[in-house]
Parts: sequence; structure tokens; C-alpha cells
Amino acid sequence: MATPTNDAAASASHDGDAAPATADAATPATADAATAASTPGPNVAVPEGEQPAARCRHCERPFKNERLYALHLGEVHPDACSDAERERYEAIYDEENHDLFTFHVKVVVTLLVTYFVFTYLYGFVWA
Amino acid sequence: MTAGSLRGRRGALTAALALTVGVAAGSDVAAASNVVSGLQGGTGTVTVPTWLFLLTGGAVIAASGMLSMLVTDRALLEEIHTWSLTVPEPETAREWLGRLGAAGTALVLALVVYTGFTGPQIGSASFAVLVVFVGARAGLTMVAYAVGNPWPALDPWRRVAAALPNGVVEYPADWKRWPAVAALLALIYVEIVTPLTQSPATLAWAVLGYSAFTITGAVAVGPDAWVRNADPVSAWFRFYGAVGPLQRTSEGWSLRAPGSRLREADLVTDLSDVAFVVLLVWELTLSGFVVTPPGETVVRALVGVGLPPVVAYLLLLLAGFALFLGAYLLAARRSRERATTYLTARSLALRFAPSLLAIAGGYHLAHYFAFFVSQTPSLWTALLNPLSPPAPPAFTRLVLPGWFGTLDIAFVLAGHVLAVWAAHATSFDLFPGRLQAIRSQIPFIAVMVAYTMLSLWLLSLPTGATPFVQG
Repeated sequence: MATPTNDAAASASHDGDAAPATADAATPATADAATAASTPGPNVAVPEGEQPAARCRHCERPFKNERLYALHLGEVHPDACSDAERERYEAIYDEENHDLFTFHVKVVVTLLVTYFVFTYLYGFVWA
Repeated sequence: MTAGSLRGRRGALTAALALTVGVAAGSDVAAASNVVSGLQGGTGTVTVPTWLFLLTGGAVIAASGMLSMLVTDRALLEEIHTWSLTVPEPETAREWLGRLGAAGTALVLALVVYTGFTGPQIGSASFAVLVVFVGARAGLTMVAYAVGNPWPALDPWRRVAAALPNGVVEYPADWKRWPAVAALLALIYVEIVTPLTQSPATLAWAVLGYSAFTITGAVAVGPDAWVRNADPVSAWFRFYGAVGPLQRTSEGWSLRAPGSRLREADLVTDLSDVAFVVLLVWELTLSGFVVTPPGETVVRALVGVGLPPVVAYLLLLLAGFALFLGAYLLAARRSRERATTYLTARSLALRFAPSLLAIAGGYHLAHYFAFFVSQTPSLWTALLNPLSPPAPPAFTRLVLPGWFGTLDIAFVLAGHVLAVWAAHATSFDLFPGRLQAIRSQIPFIAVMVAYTMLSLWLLSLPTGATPFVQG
């Protein structure tokens, strides 16, 4: 008799469920979840008549634009990248860093404004 | 891309403001559930105007969402969530811990049934009621999400079923966890419409009925399949236990950051699991709702239309559950659109559902912490003399200081903050783009802001007895 564990992945396979819908669950829990997410099958759905802008040649995961595919290659399949792909990944990653910085500035400003608004509101209410 | 998300966020904030103004217009200037009011009656209010109180709560969640968006380093996220301290657990220790725990729980259950039938028929002086509601529904659940899942070491029914000839039929794999969802719905319904907290004999019957149900089920499909798929109590503790820092893995006991298990893909693997998780959140809201004035108005309205009270409560239970589940699945669909991804809304719903457990934990603590603390002397008195309890006045309660109400608010907010963080970490697992991951969170944060405001509003209202079914 199997001793109870929290490892649901092991128990999920005991369910006798052979459908590929549980490809996620059947993947060992220790494998990084990025790999589980990039396994194709019922986890992804390309609408009828649409052609994905890119499809990963290692794991078949479709992407809506080429930038995301380049990032995916660098993060999930770093060892299988060609030099050109690695360069492209690093260039897009740097671009994303810049976008993230701009975004972070906006977030911090929003947080500060929110803080000031609430300080004012409480000051007004508790006066 | 960025302008669109900014517009989206402004839209969400406007909607939140509109909701708050609407709520403020209909309310004026906090306790928690039918279980609590059944045992100790209602409570009071907060000293900040309600509209500001709700707005602050919503803003805290939105702010925590924004703060989490500042953490975008994949390596750091990975490090935080995979950090662990593992202690190997020898097989014999595990076996003996299980046997002792199960034996202890079996003894306690026998006492619950015995004192339920023969002991004083007053809920606040009954060993049965105090152990089941203060000890297990409140206390043991708190242990689950604050420490780790205690149930596998305590489950007596599983061991009884394992000792009997079992596995008569194969558990139909297609059923997944839907039987557990149905069973939990039934348990919640029974808790609302029957006077379990005030009539120990009813509780004793309920415990006997549940024991028969779970042993029969475990014998029918085999204890492993039963516990994994259909037993609501095991599922309850398994899901709440996922929030805790102590996890039992194949290598032994593992101490990790609280909520780090929520990021993993193997906890919620099917829509039935999502339904169970949402039900955990909904039942807390429902039990809080039915003892507040708006809840009473709704129930009286339904009964006024001509429905018998038991049907009114069933309708409320199922309709609210459908609403919550629908809102969550809608958020998953919106997340798919925002994140420009081919990942299905279903797979997003599965991956982000575990973070709801942190919300359930926070809300459970908000509901039951004050209750548990104040009832501790009564529970202790009951545990000391199960078979010959003193007279009811000997069962005392602690009078709690006024600031305990603030604690409830803090727990609700803490649960949401942990959920926002867990979802943020999960999104970085799912998507190759970091801004893409952040965008995917916006619909979920919007839903959480709305739900926080609803929960805080319910906490701020005075409470009374559950209409029609409670004294």
C-alpha cells in the first residue's frame, strides 16, 4: 500500500488516466514547470484558420510573435540554441529590460500617488 | 502594448471605485460565520467609514500586485520558491506516527459520538461540538495552512478501510475530483441548515453518517483512490496544507517558504480541482454572508417568494458557487487574451488556481482565529473531562480585546498578498516574456481586489443568527 504523500503527480498516474490532457500532471514535479508549460497538446490551442507566428522546433509550442519565441529559446532551450539565436535572445532580453525599467518607474509613481491620496483621505476623515 | 495595459489598469481602477461608491451608498459604518454565531453570537463594527475601509482594502491588494510586478528577476523567483530545508523521515517513524495519530483520532471520534448522544445538549458545553468545530474545523485547518497537512497522519477511516477487504470496483478515472466537490457541497449544506453547533445529538449522527459514507467509499474503490479523489476531508486538508511551509515529499519532511507549493503544476490538475478550491473560498464567504443583515435580507426574500428555507439555502449555495467559479474562469480567459498566448484558458485556470488557496487560508483565519482563541478555555475544559463534564457555566470563553477585529482584516489582506505573490511567480514559469507574465496577472488582480472589498465589507457588518435555521 502506497504511503500517503503530497506528491500528487505520483498519485495522478495511479488514477489510470492515460489521456494526454494530464501531460502536465504526469511530468515529474521536479522538472521545471517551464518545460511542462511548453509541452504541446491540450495545453495550447491555436484557433481555426490561424497560423502561429512561430513554433518551437524543439517542443512544438506555438507563439503569437517571434519575440516571444526568441525569449523562449533562450530560457527553456539554452543548450540547443545556435549562436545567432542566442544573440537574438540576448538582444530581445536587453530590450525587455529597458521596457521593464520604464514600466517599473510607472509602477513606483502609481504607488506613491496612491499612498499620497490615501494619506490625504485619512487625514481628511480623521480630522 | 504598455499603453493598452495602462488603459486596462485605469479601467479596472475606475470599476473598483464605482463598486466602492455603490457599496458605500447602500451601507453605513466585523465576526464571521454561522458556526461562530451558532456558538457565541454576533459582533460589531469598525471606526473608519465603510467606503474608505473598503477602498483601502482594495488599494492594498492592487498595491501588492504592483509591488510584486517589481520583482522580475527569474533567478531570484526560482531561488525563493525552490529554497528548502529537508529532513529525511525514516519509514518506521512515518508508520508509527500514522498509527498513533489514527488511533488517537479514532478515540476522539468515538468520544464525540458518545458525548454527542449522552452529554449535555448545549453546544457551548458539549465535547462533541467543541472538538469538531473549535478543534477540527477551526484549529486543525489552521494547522494545515500555517504548518502543513496533518491529515494523513490522523485519518482513521482510511486505515479501517485498508484493514478490510477493499477495492471492489475501479475508481472511474473520468470522475476526477468531482465526487469530492459534491461531497463538500453536501457537508457545507448540512452545516448551514441543521443545528449542528447547537444540537450535539445531531452532530453525533452527522459524524456517524460521514464515517459510514467514507468507509463504504474507501472499501468500494480502494482507500488510495478514495482519499485522492472522493473524500472531501482529505481533499480539504490536502489543499489547505499546500499553503503551509512544511511539506512531505518523497525525500522526507521539507521546510519551504509558505505558499511555495502553490507555484507547482501538480497540485491542481483538473477542473474538478479548480472547483474544489473555489468552493473552499466560496463556503467561507457564504457562511459569513448568511449571518449578516444583507444575507438575512436575501434569504428572507427567497423565502418570501415561496421557497422553503432549506431550498433557499441550497439555491444560495449553488448559485454563489457558480458565480465564483464563473468569475474565476472568466479571469482566466481574460488573462489569456492579455498575455497574447496560445496557452488555453483552461490550462491558465489550472495553473493559477492554487494561489486561491492562500486567499482561502487568509479568510479562514479571519473567520475563525478570534473564535478559536476565545473558545480555547471551553475546549480545554471539555478535553479534560470528556465523560463527566462540569456544568455548562464552567465552560468559559476568553473576552478578546477590541483590536482583534483589526487582526481579521490583516489576515484577509495577508492571504490576498500571498496569493498575488504565488500567482506572480507562477506566471513567470508559464510565459517566456516578463512583461507578458505581468500582463497576464491583471485580470486576476482585478478579481482579487473586488473579492477583497466584498470580504472586508462582510467582516465589517454586525452578525446574528442564521435566519430560519438557527435559534
